[in-house]
Amino acid sequence: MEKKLKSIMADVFVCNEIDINENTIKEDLENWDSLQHLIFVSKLEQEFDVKFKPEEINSMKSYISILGIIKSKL
Amino acid sequence: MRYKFHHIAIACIDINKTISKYEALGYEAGDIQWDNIQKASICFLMAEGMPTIELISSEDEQSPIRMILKKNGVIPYHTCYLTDDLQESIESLSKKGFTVLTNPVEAIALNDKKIVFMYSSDSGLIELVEE
Repeated sequence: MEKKLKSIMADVFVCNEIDINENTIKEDLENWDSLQHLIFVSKLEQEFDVKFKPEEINSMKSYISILGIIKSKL
Repeated sequence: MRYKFHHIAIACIDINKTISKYEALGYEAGDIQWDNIQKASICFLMAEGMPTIELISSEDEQSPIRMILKKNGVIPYHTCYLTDDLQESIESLSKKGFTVLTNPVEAIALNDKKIVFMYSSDSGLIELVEE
């Protein structure tokens, strides 16, 4: 699951998977703006077959927070 | 569920300059209102036989509106649809691949009607308004 998440992040935010780790936050990725965030969340819902609440979408500001939210739904 | 088209929203930098361009096309502008939830200035423009336009402008650097403007310039931002049951629409569209981005809130520019924003990468951003 972690590899899949990193792969999606690398794809949407146009970066290398190797650059994404448990310390990665929104500000670390140049292309992680509010527009890309919408695309990212939409892709996460499709790929992991989950649904997020608006509060969860707003709290997705780091790799580790996203991982935690997805894990709580699987 | 049945929907009625309500408006096209256009993200703009200088709302007064954009109003003047749409007035040249025959539109009449309403008042400019501040929406504290979207942190944006909003103005509706109407003309007979033409779709309603909502101009939306934000000074907040982190808002999606500013991001759109930076990437694309002045451009359509979302389309808006009326529904008679907001909650049922949210549930129905959510099952069809839309992501719910906001909880239902009252929109000052729409007479405090309840709205919600949803997104799909295949459709872009949409707004629903409860009639």
